[in-house]
Amino acid sequence: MAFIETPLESGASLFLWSTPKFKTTTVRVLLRAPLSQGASAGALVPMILQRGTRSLPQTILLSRRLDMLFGAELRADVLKFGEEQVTIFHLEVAQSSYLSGEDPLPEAMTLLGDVLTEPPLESGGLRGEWVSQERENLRRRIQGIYSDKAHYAQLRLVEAMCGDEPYAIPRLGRLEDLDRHTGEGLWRHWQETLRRAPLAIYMVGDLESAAAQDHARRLLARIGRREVRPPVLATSHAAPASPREVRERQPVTQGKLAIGFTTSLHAWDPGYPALSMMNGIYGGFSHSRLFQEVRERHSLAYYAQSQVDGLKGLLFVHLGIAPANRQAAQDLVLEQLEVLRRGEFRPQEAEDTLKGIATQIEQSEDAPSEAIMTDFELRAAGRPTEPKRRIAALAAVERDEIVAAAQGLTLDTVYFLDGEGDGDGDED
Amino acid sequence: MATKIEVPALREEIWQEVLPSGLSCYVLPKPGFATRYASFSTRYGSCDQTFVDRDGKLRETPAGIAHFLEHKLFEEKDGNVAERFSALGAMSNAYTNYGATSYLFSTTEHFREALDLLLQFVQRPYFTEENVEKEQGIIAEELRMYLDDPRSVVFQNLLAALYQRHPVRVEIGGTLESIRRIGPDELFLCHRTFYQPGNMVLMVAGDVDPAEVFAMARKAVGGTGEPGLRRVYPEEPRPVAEEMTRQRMAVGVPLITIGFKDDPAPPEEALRREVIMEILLDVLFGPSSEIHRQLYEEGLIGQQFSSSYFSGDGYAASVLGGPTPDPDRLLARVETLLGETLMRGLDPKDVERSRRRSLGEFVALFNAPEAVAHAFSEYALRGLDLMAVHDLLQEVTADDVGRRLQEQFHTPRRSVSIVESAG
Repeated sequence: MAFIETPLESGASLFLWSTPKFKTTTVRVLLRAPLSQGASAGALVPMILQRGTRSLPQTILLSRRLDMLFGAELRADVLKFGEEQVTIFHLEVAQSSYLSGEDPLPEAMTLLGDVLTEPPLESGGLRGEWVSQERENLRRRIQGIYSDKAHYAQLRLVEAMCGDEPYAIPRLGRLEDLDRHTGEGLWRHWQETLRRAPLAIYMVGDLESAAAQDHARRLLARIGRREVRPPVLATSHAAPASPREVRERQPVTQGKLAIGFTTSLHAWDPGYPALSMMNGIYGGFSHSRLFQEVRERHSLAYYAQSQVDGLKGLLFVHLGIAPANRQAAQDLVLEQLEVLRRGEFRPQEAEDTLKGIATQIEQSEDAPSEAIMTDFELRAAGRPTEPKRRIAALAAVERDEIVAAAQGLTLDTVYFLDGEGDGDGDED
Repeated sequence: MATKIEVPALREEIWQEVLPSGLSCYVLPKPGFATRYASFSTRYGSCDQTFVDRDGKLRETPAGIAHFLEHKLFEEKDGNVAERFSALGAMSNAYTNYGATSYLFSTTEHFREALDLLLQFVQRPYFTEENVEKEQGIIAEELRMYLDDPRSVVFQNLLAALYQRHPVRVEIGGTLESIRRIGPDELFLCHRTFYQPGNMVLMVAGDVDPAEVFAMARKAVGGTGEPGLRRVYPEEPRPVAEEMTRQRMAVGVPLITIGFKDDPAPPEEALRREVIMEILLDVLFGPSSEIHRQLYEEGLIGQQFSSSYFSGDGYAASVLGGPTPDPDRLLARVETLLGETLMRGLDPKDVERSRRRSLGEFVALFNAPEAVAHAFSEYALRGLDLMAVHDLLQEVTADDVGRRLQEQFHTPRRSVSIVESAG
């Protein structure tokens, strides 16, 4: 993958991957802001901006215009990124050489600029009708998380673990803040974000560098003068003296066990590849310890996996289990970590993990959006972006570094979403 | 003899060859992509519960057996096949749906070894009393996961309401009860019956040489392609089983799915029907539609509202829905707005807009070789050609779409499935 960076005016950069590999042109504008109590405003604004522009002041007009550009995709959302909230504008259009007719890109880029900078305004703010409609939509999106039990369990685990840290704030913000947002306040919030957020423009497609720079410069010119604040590094989190336990009951048939650990390595640490390897051996793949022991050997779960958030330095384990098997499953999860800490894994497990991660790294170049997000994350952590160098760094990890990464884990919180049945009464 | 299916406008081609064993093989060459992907699939899904086997005997099998078999094929005498894929750096997976079971991997290295492994393991069943019993615990957890997933529940309840007898009304994985009745003998029987090369499709996509893939498949897959399998579907009455089904669950926002039962198209019309219906549903309910605008502005739907045409062997329905604060009000509004549209008829401009959008989406599909391979293989298993969609999209007229509007929605056979909050 060869994203070439061109620094542009006022702290923004263009990252261009010029390639004939894909049949579309993909553009992403990414803006980074601190994750704060105002996160729900950050989530709400892109929902409103997508509703229309000054030149297409009704949602249906914008949507129909995009249809005529051969189904150009233009959408916006937010992402939680360490202790930042990243707003993503995504534009994807089919390349004109595969269509009979005009090139949809120039007009689509204009629409992207319109959505970013020219919403219809009333009384100095975003349109009141859209604000109240999208506030209700956001309320339902937040409430809807309760319907997705695995997602809900992760959210509750992080809340229990991180308490007052910004990291505990969900991607979409909190329900409590929703009602205080006004059209005026949201518009101010958005102008502040446009002015101050570190901003990256990514482009992937069959584009000449000069043409891409031209598109990017025109977009930035519409945003105007900027005074950029630096990105925010996540605060470090310390595990409590003895692990927290949280149990919640709901009328569910399957229990969700979510376990959080602190790690001794962050994404920007030179030793981080060891944690990636350790996580892969522990729970990243179907050859991993958790899958093999919890599912294959003991038939306790359909899924059993671990994942790392390197920006915050945390590792999470997730299992879906019959409520009565909770203690047995939890014991297995912790036991397998002990096995890794004692270094009792076969060389084959590390080899398979290396191959598995290498495949994932190479595959990220086969999809424009994935290539963009991978590059964005690696640059943010100051790590090399070239696949070969990344794979070499993983291959260079020594066995005792993997063991040290496992030893660097500290159990922080165990969250269990239990059914309302009798269960085995193993606690409380 | 290998032949080529081309879409010249997209500069894409798929090579195909039917081997002496009866196996249909397809290769989508994608130079420049790192990922190489293969799937080996059989026309055997959750709906194929009753059949006449190769000895002419009528067999009835427990619900969920196709899915159970999919899980079990990964187990071999000396371990799990997934681990052997892992050792090659390949990610393996499998899925079962109403009409097919598919085994697949993607990899960047060791493609030949992985392809060989795929072709071997799918043809090599290993079932014992002990390993079947072990799998029951895992599958029970998978089923429980879906029982707690309101999107899955609301959809499956809809199918049970739309269909009186067709097995599409039963969960793909079966029930906690039905999977207990599955043993090694039934699994061997189903494997012997449905995993015959003549009933299967091999699909490969990536930077590979089609001739080499065909040669490998010829070597690894034997047999002479003799048929000898007959599926038995019960006669499905035209009316729906139930007009309304409601369930209470621990959800944050209620969900609704509305289904309009359709008469399945004859096989030669099936692809055209799908293309027309996707355009019709987009014109009626898509983000650029008048109905969508009104429902959205009334606060009844959000971005997750969607519609699609759901069809397969012996069943077809238009399905729409999503989360909503007020399912009953949404239903009433859909009814009114749809009635107005039926009176007014379609605007040809809307059909043209939707056609353009579909064309752009078809082009974009080819960004993702795995997605093309998946869609192509799913179609091929049903005897349909995905590549023909490109030309059909240009041929379909506003009249075709308008005719289907009347056929499908004039005197609807409709079922509604609602999941409400338990709290």
